[in-house]
Amino acid sequence: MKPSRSVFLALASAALALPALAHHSFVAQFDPNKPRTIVGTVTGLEWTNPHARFYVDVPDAKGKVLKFEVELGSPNKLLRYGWNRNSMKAGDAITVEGFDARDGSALINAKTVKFADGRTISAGSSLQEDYSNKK
Amino acid sequence: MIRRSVLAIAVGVLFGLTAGQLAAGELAGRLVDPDGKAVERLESPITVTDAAGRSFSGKVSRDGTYRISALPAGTYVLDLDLPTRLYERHGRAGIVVDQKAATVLDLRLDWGMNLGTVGDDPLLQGSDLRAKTRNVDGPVPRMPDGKPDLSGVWTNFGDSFAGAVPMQPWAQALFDEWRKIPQDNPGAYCLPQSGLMTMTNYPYKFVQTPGAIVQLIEDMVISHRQIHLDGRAHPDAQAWNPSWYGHSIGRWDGDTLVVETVGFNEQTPGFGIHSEALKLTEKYRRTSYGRMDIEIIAEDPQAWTGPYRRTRQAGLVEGTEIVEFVCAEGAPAHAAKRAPWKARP
Repeated sequence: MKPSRSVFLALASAALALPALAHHSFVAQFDPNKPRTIVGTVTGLEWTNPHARFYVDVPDAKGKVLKFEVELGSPNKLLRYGWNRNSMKAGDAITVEGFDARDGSALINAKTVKFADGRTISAGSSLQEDYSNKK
Repeated sequence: MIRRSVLAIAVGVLFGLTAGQLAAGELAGRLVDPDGKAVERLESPITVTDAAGRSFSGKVSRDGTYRISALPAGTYVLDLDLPTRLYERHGRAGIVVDQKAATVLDLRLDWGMNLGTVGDDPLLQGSDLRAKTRNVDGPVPRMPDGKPDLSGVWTNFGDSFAGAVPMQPWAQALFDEWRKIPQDNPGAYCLPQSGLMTMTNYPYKFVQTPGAIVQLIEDMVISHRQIHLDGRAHPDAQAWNPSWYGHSIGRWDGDTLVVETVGFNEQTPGFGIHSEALKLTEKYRRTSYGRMDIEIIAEDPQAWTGPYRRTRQAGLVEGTEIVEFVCAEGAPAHAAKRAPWKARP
């Protein structure tokens, strides 16, 4: 059965109304040329598929609190890099190196995360210094 | 899928090297990201193939430039093998090389599916997992009947969705329109990208028994298929619902497992626009303890002009298991229906 153009177009117009939280819109959500480091306090962790995420309160120079959302990969992959759902809790000090969302929202995509105990998890980031051992 | 574009060849300045310093029969240029910045450090293999199937390779330098020399005159297809999903995989067709002047071609990459979130770059995760395997060059394990045992957790080298599907014009036109609407990709809803379970960048596991190989993959949905080895035929079309992964039967050709799959639905973009007539042949040959060669031939007489072919390699992964990945868990529509007992005090 040949897929028909009318069926395709009907699907296409329905798709445009979908909620923004659908997994991977397949356009670039983040900007690798806009790195940002935040230092603050964890307020919550959502250990869920397809992207785990956590929230950080970051005081600015005047003491005003900015709220950031940090996006991670999925828990099955994070587990292999040493994360689990107890890796952070509200109140923990945290440092996140990441990249800004393109839409200007307070959302960043994490490259490395440094925990309160000093551990830094950085494996798995697309931005490596050296890819020669990645084979 | 490789975007087809016939390129206008422009001789110009190449990142500090002028065309006058390049020789005829050389193809050179630099990799740039969508913001125009040079793409550095990838040191990716770059291959051009002519119409006769001859391939010539080079490697992108750390500064993002590449140079392939001594190419015979002809028209080439270029393939860039990237180690990371930060950028969309890149291929070009219609690159003309002649013996009169150098061909300068900058490659402008597109941003990939997502940015290297910790643990979210499947290509890098694959290489991190394979790095732990010992005795890669050891002998191929065997079943009691002497056949190679393909059991194990594997990850594939390189990007899964390389290669252009040779679609008929009506199918190509549909595909080009569909590609403009990213939300129409089943992957946006955590549905399978491809009907070929080995066409994945995530870990998968073969569990081999004499009567069937069960394949489990850690991708989007809790996915499995069976490759029946008991000599059965495909079911009659009237007794089969077209499905995401089809019906697979396998037989041994020496030490190569030949798998044939039919019965696909028309929903997976991994084969471009395809019909229910899609037929997939896979050939698996475990070449050592830690390596397996995979050859893929897909055919669709109703929607394509010729076969799609791909060869790739898989690497064994030790010390990990398939971990459940239910991608749709985070879909907002489900949040409201989540187990009410989770809120108990």
